Amino acid sequence: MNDQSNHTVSENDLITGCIEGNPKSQRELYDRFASKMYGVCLRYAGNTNDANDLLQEGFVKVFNNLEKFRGEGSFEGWVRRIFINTCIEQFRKKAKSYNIGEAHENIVEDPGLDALDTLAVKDLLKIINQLSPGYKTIFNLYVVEGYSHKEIAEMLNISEGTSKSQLARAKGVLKNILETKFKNINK
Amino acid sequence: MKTVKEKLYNYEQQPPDKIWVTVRNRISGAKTIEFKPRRKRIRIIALSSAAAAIIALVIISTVFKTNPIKNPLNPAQTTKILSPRQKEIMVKNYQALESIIKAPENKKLVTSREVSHSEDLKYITISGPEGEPVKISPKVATLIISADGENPPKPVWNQKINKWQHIMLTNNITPTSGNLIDIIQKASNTIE
Repeated sequence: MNDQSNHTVSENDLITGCIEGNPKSQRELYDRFASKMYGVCLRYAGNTNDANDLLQEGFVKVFNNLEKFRGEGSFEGWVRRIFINTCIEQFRKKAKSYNIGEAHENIVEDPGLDALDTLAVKDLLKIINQLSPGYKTIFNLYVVEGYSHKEIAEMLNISEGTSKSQLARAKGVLKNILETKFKNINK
Repeated sequence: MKTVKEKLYNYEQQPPDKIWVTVRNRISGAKTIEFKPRRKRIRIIALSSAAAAIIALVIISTVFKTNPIKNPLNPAQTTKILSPRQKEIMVKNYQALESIIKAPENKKLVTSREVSHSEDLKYITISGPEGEPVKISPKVATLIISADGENPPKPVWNQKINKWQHIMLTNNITPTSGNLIDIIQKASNTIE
């Protein structure tokens, strides 16, 4: 408890320093969150170049909007939300070419993906990155970030049903990838 | 064993160093950019003001060139302290004055005729240098115009004065109070 309050105080100082334009504070804030947020970007982006762009864009937004952080909830959660929004923004820009829409609204049976739990993180990332951007975004938002279908529908301007069906289809694709992977290993 | 959610949510990877350099430049660049539009705006305002001033000068000069003030002595234009009624009288008086000055015929006759149209039979009222009303005798009208360099010369008084000068210079009689009548008499004979 005491450690946590000390950490909060130093975080407040860090935020104040960044708002005042202190380069040391800015660097420290970047170092504190860069690895975590790069992980987020890598999950949403299809490749490292896009992930680099998202990380850069996200940090610029964080620094430019620090004054808006009111201390409600954790600072890391606030920063993470900015990065997720940045990723979604990027997704929306390319949404037309991703072909995500109401046509896929029929509910698909949810396949079990327990096999995923056995994989190492890097392997997981490789498999997830094989998903189409639409499937990947919904999978990340629902499975990893923990948003509800209602929230996802609002974020992506789609219906709740579409969100559900897209997730089921994403899981189906992942299952196929995993089956192929394990078949190759067994051979 | 950690779930997919836990593994992916907490996944961390060190980004390339170049990203911080770009972020830092963009943050500091953003602060600089904030001032640029303001400077640009100030420059635009200054240039717009200068352009507006030049345009205003051109318009004013064009207006004055095409519509010059024909009668700077016009009381209706110069007098601000008078009532509308007084202004009207002055305009009439001014017209009378102008017709007296410009009339090629006998000034005395014209004066009596023109002034009869005026409100004041003895005097005409003109606008003074400060716009104040000044009553003058119609006879003085030609003198006023003689003093005005912009108006064409009015020879009436000039001729009279020149003749008086000539008489006085050429006459052998010493002008005293006793023989001044003689000079006037001689001048009258010369004019006739």
